[in-house]
Amino acid sequence: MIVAYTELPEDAGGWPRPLLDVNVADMDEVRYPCLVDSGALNTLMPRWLADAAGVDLDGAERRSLAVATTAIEAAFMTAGLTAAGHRWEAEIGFCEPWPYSWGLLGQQSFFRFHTVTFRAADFEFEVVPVES
Amino acid sequence: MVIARVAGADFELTRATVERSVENVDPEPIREHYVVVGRRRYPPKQVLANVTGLDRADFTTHQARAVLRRLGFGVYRLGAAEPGVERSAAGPQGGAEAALLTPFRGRWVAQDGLDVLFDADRPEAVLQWLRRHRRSARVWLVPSSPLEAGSALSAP
Repeated sequence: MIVAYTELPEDAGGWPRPLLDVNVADMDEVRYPCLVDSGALNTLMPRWLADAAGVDLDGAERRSLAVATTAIEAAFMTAGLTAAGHRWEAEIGFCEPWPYSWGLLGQQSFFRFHTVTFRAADFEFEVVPVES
Repeated sequence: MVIARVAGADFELTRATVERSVENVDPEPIREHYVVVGRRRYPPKQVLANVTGLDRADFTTHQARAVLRRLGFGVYRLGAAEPGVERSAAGPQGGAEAALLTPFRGRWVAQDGLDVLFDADRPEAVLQWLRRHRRSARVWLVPSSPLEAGSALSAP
Protein backbone atom coordinates (compact mmCIF):
# COMPACT_ATOMS: atom_id res chain seq x y z
CA MET A 1 0.00 0.00 0.00
CA ILE A 2 1.25 3.47 -0.89
CA VAL A 3 0.59 6.12 1.77
CA ALA A 4 0.92 9.88 1.39
CA TYR A 5 2.91 11.80 3.98
CA THR A 6 0.83 13.86 6.41
CA GLU A 7 1.09 17.63 6.14
CA LEU A 8 1.44 19.59 9.38
CA PRO A 9 0.69 23.15 10.47
CA GLU A 10 3.60 25.48 9.84
CA ASP A 11 4.45 26.15 13.49
CA ALA A 12 4.56 22.43 14.27
CA GLY A 13 7.58 22.03 12.10
CA GLY A 14 5.69 22.18 8.85
CA TRP A 15 7.45 19.46 6.94
CA PRO A 16 5.23 16.47 6.05
CA ARG A 17 5.85 13.24 7.99
CA PRO A 18 5.41 9.55 7.15
CA LEU A 19 2.47 8.67 9.40
CA LEU A 20 0.68 5.34 9.06
CA ASP A 21 -2.85 4.93 10.46
CA VAL A 22 -3.15 1.91 12.75
CA ASN A 23 -6.16 0.18 14.29
CA VAL A 24 -5.44 -1.21 17.76
CA ALA A 25 -7.00 -4.49 18.90
CA ASP A 26 -9.86 -4.45 16.38
CA MET A 27 -11.11 -1.03 17.52
CA ASP A 28 -12.39 -0.11 14.06
CA GLU A 29 -13.64 3.40 14.77
CA VAL A 30 -10.22 4.84 15.62
CA ARG A 31 -7.26 4.98 13.28
CA TYR A 32 -4.29 6.24 15.23
CA PRO A 33 -1.42 7.73 13.22
CA CYS A 34 2.06 6.45 13.98
CA LEU A 35 5.38 7.74 12.73
CA VAL A 36 7.12 5.08 10.67
CA ASP A 37 10.39 5.54 12.53
CA SER A 38 13.30 3.30 11.58
CA GLY A 39 15.29 4.84 14.43
CA ALA A 40 12.85 3.60 17.06
CA LEU A 41 13.36 0.20 18.61
CA ASN A 42 9.89 -0.17 20.12
CA THR A 43 6.35 0.44 19.00
CA LEU A 44 4.90 3.02 21.37
CA MET A 45 1.45 4.52 21.79
CA PRO A 46 -0.42 6.53 24.41
CA ARG A 47 -2.11 4.71 27.27
CA TRP A 48 -5.62 6.00 26.43
CA LEU A 49 -5.63 3.82 23.32
CA ALA A 50 -5.22 0.66 25.40
CA ASP A 51 -8.09 1.72 27.64
CA ALA A 52 -10.32 2.59 24.67
CA ALA A 53 -9.55 -0.67 22.88
CA GLY A 54 -10.03 -2.79 25.98
CA VAL A 55 -6.42 -3.95 26.18
CA ASP A 56 -5.90 -5.13 29.74
CA LEU A 57 -2.59 -3.87 31.05
CA ASP A 58 -2.72 -5.86 34.29
CA GLY A 59 0.35 -8.00 34.17
CA ALA A 60 2.00 -5.86 31.51
CA GLU A 61 5.76 -5.60 31.64
CA ARG A 62 6.70 -2.11 32.84
CA ARG A 63 9.83 -0.51 31.42
CA SER A 64 11.42 2.92 31.55
CA LEU A 65 12.29 4.31 28.14
CA ALA A 66 14.14 7.31 26.89
CA VAL A 67 12.04 8.88 24.15
CA ALA A 68 13.75 11.87 22.58
CA THR A 69 14.92 13.71 25.72
CA THR A 70 12.12 12.49 27.99
CA ALA A 71 12.01 9.53 30.38
CA ILE A 72 8.73 7.68 29.93
CA GLU A 73 7.12 4.70 31.66
CA ALA A 74 5.66 2.16 29.28
CA ALA A 75 3.47 -0.89 29.93
CA PHE A 76 4.24 -3.51 27.29
CA MET A 77 1.52 -5.85 26.11
CA THR A 78 0.92 -7.85 22.93
CA ALA A 79 -2.10 -6.79 20.90
CA GLY A 80 -3.33 -7.01 17.33
CA LEU A 81 -2.52 -4.11 15.02
CA THR A 82 -4.01 -3.50 11.58
CA ALA A 83 -2.47 -1.13 9.07
CA ALA A 84 -2.15 -0.95 5.31
CA GLY A 85 -4.59 -3.85 5.02
CA HIS A 86 -2.43 -6.17 7.13
CA ARG A 87 -3.03 -7.48 10.65
CA TRP A 88 -0.22 -8.66 12.89
CA GLU A 89 0.45 -9.26 16.57
CA ALA A 90 2.74 -6.65 18.04
CA GLU A 91 4.32 -5.89 21.36
CA ILE A 92 3.22 -2.34 22.12
CA GLY A 93 4.46 -0.05 24.86
CA PHE A 94 1.50 1.95 26.13
CA CYS A 95 2.87 5.15 27.65
CA GLU A 96 1.55 7.73 30.06
CA PRO A 97 2.18 10.57 29.76
CA TRP A 98 2.74 10.64 26.02
CA PRO A 99 3.55 14.17 24.87
CA TYR A 100 3.62 13.50 21.13
CA SER A 101 0.94 13.84 18.50
CA TRP A 102 1.43 10.33 17.15
CA GLY A 103 2.73 6.91 18.09
CA LEU A 104 5.90 5.24 16.92
CA LEU A 105 6.23 2.15 14.76
CA GLY A 106 9.68 0.77 15.50
CA GLN A 107 12.01 -2.02 14.54
CA GLN A 108 10.81 -4.80 16.85
CA SER A 109 7.09 -4.81 16.23
CA PHE A 110 6.76 -3.20 12.84
CA PHE A 111 9.82 -3.20 10.58
CA ARG A 112 10.37 -6.91 11.27
CA PHE A 113 7.03 -7.61 9.63
CA HIS A 114 6.99 -5.07 6.81
CA THR A 115 9.14 -3.82 3.99
CA VAL A 116 9.00 -0.06 3.87
CA THR A 117 10.19 2.10 0.99
CA PHE A 118 10.35 5.84 1.53
CA ARG A 119 10.00 8.17 -1.45
CA ALA A 120 10.37 11.46 0.35
CA ALA A 121 10.82 13.38 -2.89
CA ASP A 122 7.25 12.40 -3.74
CA PHE A 123 5.95 12.69 -0.14
CA GLU A 124 4.92 9.04 -0.03
CA PHE A 125 5.99 5.68 1.35
CA GLU A 126 5.08 2.11 0.53
CA VAL A 127 4.35 -0.61 3.07
CA VAL A 128 4.40 -4.27 2.04
CA PRO A 129 3.93 -7.09 4.58
CA VAL A 130 6.84 -9.52 4.77
CA GLU A 131 5.67 -12.97 3.70
CA SER A 132 6.07 -15.43 6.55
CA MET B 1 -28.65 42.29 14.73
CA VAL B 2 -30.56 40.47 12.02
CA ILE B 3 -34.31 39.93 11.88
CA ALA B 4 -34.81 36.60 10.20
CA ARG B 5 -38.17 35.30 9.10
CA VAL B 6 -38.15 31.52 9.36
CA ALA B 7 -41.17 29.21 9.26
CA GLY B 8 -43.54 32.15 9.42
CA ALA B 9 -42.02 33.67 12.55
CA ASP B 10 -39.57 36.55 13.05
CA PHE B 11 -36.43 36.03 15.10
CA GLU B 12 -34.06 38.73 16.29
CA LEU B 13 -30.63 37.15 16.09
CA THR B 14 -27.11 38.33 16.79
CA ARG B 15 -23.76 36.63 16.38
CA ALA B 16 -23.46 36.46 20.15
CA THR B 17 -26.78 34.69 20.65
CA VAL B 18 -25.84 32.16 17.99
CA GLU B 19 -22.43 31.59 19.55
CA ARG B 20 -23.94 31.16 23.01
CA SER B 21 -26.57 28.74 21.74
CA VAL B 22 -23.96 26.22 20.58
CA GLU B 23 -21.30 26.92 23.17
CA ASN B 24 -21.66 23.52 24.83
CA VAL B 25 -23.17 21.67 21.90
CA ASP B 26 -21.22 19.04 19.99
CA PRO B 27 -21.46 19.32 16.23
CA GLU B 28 -23.34 16.59 14.41
CA PRO B 29 -21.87 14.93 11.32
CA ILE B 30 -21.69 17.23 8.31
CA ARG B 31 -23.19 15.99 5.08
CA GLU B 32 -22.46 18.77 2.63
CA HIS B 33 -22.64 22.30 4.05
CA TYR B 34 -21.25 23.63 7.31
CA VAL B 35 -20.98 26.86 9.26
CA VAL B 36 -18.02 27.83 11.39
CA VAL B 37 -19.05 29.05 14.86
CA GLY B 38 -16.15 29.70 17.18
CA ARG B 39 -13.69 27.38 15.53
CA ARG B 40 -16.05 24.44 15.24
CA ARG B 41 -17.94 23.35 12.18
CA TYR B 42 -21.65 22.60 12.44
CA PRO B 43 -24.41 21.65 10.03
CA PRO B 44 -26.24 24.97 9.41
CA LYS B 45 -29.62 23.44 10.27
CA GLN B 46 -28.34 22.27 13.65
CA VAL B 47 -27.25 25.81 14.54
CA LEU B 48 -30.42 27.54 13.36
CA ALA B 49 -32.63 24.97 15.10
CA ASN B 50 -30.65 25.47 18.30
CA VAL B 51 -30.87 29.24 18.34
CA THR B 52 -34.53 29.50 17.26
CA GLY B 53 -35.93 26.43 18.99
CA LEU B 54 -37.57 25.42 15.71
CA ASP B 55 -37.78 21.89 14.45
CA ARG B 56 -35.34 21.23 11.62
CA ALA B 57 -38.18 20.10 9.42
CA ASP B 58 -39.54 23.68 9.56
CA PHE B 59 -36.83 25.17 7.33
CA THR B 60 -34.33 24.24 4.65
CA THR B 61 -30.55 24.11 4.65
CA HIS B 62 -30.63 26.95 2.14
CA GLN B 63 -32.57 29.16 4.60
CA ALA B 64 -30.24 28.25 7.46
CA ARG B 65 -27.17 29.08 5.37
CA ALA B 66 -28.66 32.40 4.29
CA VAL B 67 -29.51 33.51 7.85
CA LEU B 68 -26.12 32.52 9.23
CA ARG B 69 -24.32 34.21 6.38
CA ARG B 70 -26.27 37.44 7.04
CA LEU B 71 -24.99 37.24 10.62
CA GLY B 72 -21.44 37.15 9.28
CA PHE B 73 -20.60 33.50 9.85
CA GLY B 74 -18.55 31.62 7.28
CA VAL B 75 -20.69 29.06 5.49
CA TYR B 76 -18.95 26.52 3.31
CA ARG B 77 -19.33 23.30 1.41
CA LEU B 78 -17.27 20.22 2.31
CA GLY B 79 -14.21 19.89 0.12
CA ALA B 80 -13.98 23.61 -0.64
CA ALA B 81 -11.17 25.53 1.02
CA GLU B 82 -11.98 27.96 3.80
CA PRO B 83 -10.51 31.38 3.02
CA GLY B 84 -7.98 33.05 5.26
CA VAL B 85 -5.63 30.11 5.72
CA GLU B 86 -2.54 30.28 3.58
CA ARG B 87 -1.45 27.17 1.76
CA SER B 88 2.17 26.16 1.44
CA ALA B 89 3.07 24.18 -1.63
CA ALA B 90 5.22 21.64 0.23
CA GLY B 91 3.34 18.40 0.66
CA PRO B 92 1.34 15.74 -1.10
CA GLN B 93 -1.87 17.80 -0.85
CA GLY B 94 -0.27 21.03 -2.00
CA GLY B 95 -0.68 22.47 1.50
CA ALA B 96 -4.42 21.74 1.73
CA GLU B 97 -4.03 19.35 4.66
CA ALA B 98 -1.78 21.73 6.59
CA ALA B 99 -4.31 24.51 6.00
CA LEU B 100 -7.14 22.24 7.15
CA LEU B 101 -5.35 21.34 10.38
CA THR B 102 -3.96 24.76 11.29
CA PRO B 103 -7.09 26.00 13.12
CA PHE B 104 -7.05 22.80 15.22
CA ARG B 105 -3.51 23.07 16.62
CA GLY B 106 -3.40 21.61 20.12
CA ARG B 107 -6.81 19.94 19.71
CA TRP B 108 -7.75 16.29 19.38
CA VAL B 109 -9.50 15.75 16.07
CA ALA B 110 -11.36 13.07 14.16
CA GLN B 111 -9.94 13.48 10.66
CA ASP B 112 -11.29 11.77 7.57
CA GLY B 113 -9.18 12.67 4.56
CA LEU B 114 -9.34 16.42 4.04
CA ASP B 115 -12.15 16.84 6.53
CA VAL B 116 -12.17 17.34 10.30
CA LEU B 117 -15.33 15.67 11.59
CA PHE B 118 -15.03 16.70 15.22
CA ASP B 119 -12.58 18.25 17.65
CA ALA B 120 -12.25 18.23 21.42
CA ASP B 121 -9.72 18.77 24.17
CA ARG B 122 -9.56 15.06 25.10
CA PRO B 123 -9.24 11.94 22.95
CA GLU B 124 -11.99 10.24 24.93
CA ALA B 125 -14.49 12.92 23.84
CA VAL B 126 -13.59 12.33 20.18
CA LEU B 127 -13.96 8.59 20.63
CA GLN B 128 -17.35 9.07 22.26
CA TRP B 129 -18.52 11.22 19.34
CA LEU B 130 -17.38 8.63 16.79
CA ARG B 131 -19.17 5.83 18.62
CA ARG B 132 -22.35 7.89 19.02
CA HIS B 133 -22.46 8.66 15.30
CA ARG B 134 -21.06 5.30 14.18
CA ARG B 135 -18.19 6.87 12.28
CA SER B 136 -14.54 5.95 11.96
CA ALA B 137 -11.66 8.37 11.56
CA ARG B 138 -8.04 9.12 12.25
CA VAL B 139 -7.92 10.36 15.84
CA TRP B 140 -4.93 12.43 16.86
CA LEU B 141 -3.61 15.53 18.55
CA VAL B 142 -2.83 18.14 15.91
CA PRO B 143 0.65 19.30 16.87
CA SER B 144 0.98 22.87 17.99
CA SER B 145 4.73 22.90 18.55
CA PRO B 146 7.88 21.21 17.28
CA LEU B 147 7.98 19.28 20.58
CA GLU B 148 4.68 17.55 19.93
CA ALA B 149 5.84 16.84 16.41
CA GLY B 150 9.24 15.77 17.66
CA SER B 151 11.09 13.14 15.73
CA ALA B 152 11.44 10.70 18.60
CA LEU B 153 13.95 7.99 19.19
CA SER B 154 13.30 5.26 21.72
CA ALA B 155 15.64 2.92 23.54
CA PRO B 156 15.03 0.12 26.02
